[in-house]
Amino acid sequence: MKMRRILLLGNPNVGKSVIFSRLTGTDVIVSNYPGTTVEYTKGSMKINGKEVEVIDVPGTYSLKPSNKAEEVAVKMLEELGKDAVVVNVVDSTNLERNLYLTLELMKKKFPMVVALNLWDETNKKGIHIDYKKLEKILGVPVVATVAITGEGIKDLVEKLKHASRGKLRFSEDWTWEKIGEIVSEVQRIEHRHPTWKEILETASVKPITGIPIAIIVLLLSFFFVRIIGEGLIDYVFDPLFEAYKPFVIRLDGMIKNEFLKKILMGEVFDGEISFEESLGLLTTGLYVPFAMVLPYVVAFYFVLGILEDTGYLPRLAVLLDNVFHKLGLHGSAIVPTLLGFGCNVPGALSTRILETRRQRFIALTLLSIAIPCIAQSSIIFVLVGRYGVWAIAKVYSILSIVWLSVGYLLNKLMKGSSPELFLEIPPYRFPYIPGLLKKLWIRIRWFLEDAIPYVMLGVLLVNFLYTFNVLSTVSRFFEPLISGWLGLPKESVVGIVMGFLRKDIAMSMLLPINMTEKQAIIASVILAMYFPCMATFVIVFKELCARDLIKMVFIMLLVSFLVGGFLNKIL
Amino acid sequence: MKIDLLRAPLGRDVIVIDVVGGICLKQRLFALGIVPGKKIKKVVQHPMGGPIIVEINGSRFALGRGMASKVIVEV
Repeated sequence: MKMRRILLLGNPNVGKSVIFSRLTGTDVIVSNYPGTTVEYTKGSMKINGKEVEVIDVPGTYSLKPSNKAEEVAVKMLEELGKDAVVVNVVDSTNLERNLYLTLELMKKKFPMVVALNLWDETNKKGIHIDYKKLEKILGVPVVATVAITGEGIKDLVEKLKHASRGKLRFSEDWTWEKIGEIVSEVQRIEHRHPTWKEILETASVKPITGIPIAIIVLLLSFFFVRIIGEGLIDYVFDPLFEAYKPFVIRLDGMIKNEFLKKILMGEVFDGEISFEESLGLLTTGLYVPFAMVLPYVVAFYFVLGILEDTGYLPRLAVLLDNVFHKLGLHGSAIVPTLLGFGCNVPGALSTRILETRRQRFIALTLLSIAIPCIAQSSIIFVLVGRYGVWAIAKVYSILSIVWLSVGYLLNKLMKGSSPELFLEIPPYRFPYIPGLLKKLWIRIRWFLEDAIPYVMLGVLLVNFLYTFNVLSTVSRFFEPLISGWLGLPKESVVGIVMGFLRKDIAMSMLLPINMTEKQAIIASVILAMYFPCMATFVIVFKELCARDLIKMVFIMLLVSFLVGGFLNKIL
Repeated sequence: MKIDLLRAPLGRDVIVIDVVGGICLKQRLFALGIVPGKKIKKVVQHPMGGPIIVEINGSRFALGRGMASKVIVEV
């Protein structure tokens, strides 16, 4: 049989992406919640010396899609299924539910192999599956796998050649009866008393015990992000930059061209370089993204990765479902929201787990307007932090109020209703450390690829514009709005405007300016709200149609300058 | 006694009798095995319009109120 490609298909959260990275050697993000993969990933592997394409398809419960990620799955199957072998990845601890998709696939006559993944967990749960018997009943090869350790993967590759269309015949209306029959023949479950893990699984979704647990988990997470972030700055990044400083100073002495000097080093104060304020490519351009933002990005995604891989996020989704409903969303929106606190780009991408366009519009707008990414949070901590913890708390309270009220209003004003929560609650799992670190690395790479070019471009632009005196014109143009309406100092205009490109550039431009507490609060609120950043904007542009995008930009500008002006009056 | 899932007792196995909803909801629940004749257990119910959590075929799902109210069970 000709095999041109392999499609990995299965229910959400069964480990398709882990199998994918085992087969192809490609790194992909995996977590313990449904909907981590929202877009397909392509890779390739060699079978008998021949290159075969492997596609990791977003998870779906059935071939009748109910959200965008599932739509992607079904479309892929229709378009690429013709000369493909389907590897149906099955969570063997949930054989019964997973077999539904298996049977649907059989109805469509795809040549397939079934991978009973998470095989190791069945033993712990007292589930015994006779997979040889299952193979006989279905008429397709069945392999037991533990993707995370690589067990059974070789076997799976071996069986690909024997992929078959199966021989099961049944009427669609009686699918569940058929599944019941199969399961009673191949599976035996020992009765077990609930383990402490299962008790915790239930306790963390019950409102009475779940809410205190959630508060503790979130406080601990915040605490660890700070500790790890500060640790990285003090022990890794600051020492690195101290070691790098003499090199820059020597280079500064070597360059004779004033213009080049200005672009590379920026403002040199009496032969001293200030990494935070000099604003040159080799000084501030490197220091701000690497030493001020990156450490917290690392810390944030490390902690978030643990929350993701243990399976805690869906529980948070259930607890917060009520709140999200008031905003026209539902609990699943916790995923884009939390990811957005790191960087808005992955946050925006993950809005695909929401079912309707209306939900995605609201989620993207709220994300861009009121969820500060790490760069924005750094601004808040550095700029407003001078005035103490309470001032910082004020900024976050303002953003929360904006988040709630904009969401509430959008939900009231936009046509249509919002679908309800529909989410699988996975069991708790111990994070698989190599996987966790790999995921962290992928996300850091994303950040670097997005951040560094924009920061460099921004620093370059600022220097050019200064040199050619364009900035004073820009300043004068926006001055009435920024100084007049928002009450911010004249010098801050350029920094605020540059925030369009990246927030880190804005930070380094605002740092040297003397601002009162009120001005610092308004400046950081405005920077967090009026525009996400170029990279996020591009994603939003891809996710929404042009009309929605214009609507969104209008909402962002209107709300942020209304709020800014209001703060200027009352603070 | 036939009641909807919202009013079903917590922590007890009940039998699904019917799903009274549109075709979309039926299909969605069908794919999970929430079909007439199946055993289902409500494990958690959140107050104030919050979701409920059910156990079906050994896995747990959070469902919104509206959905839950359309699942009719026999106690």
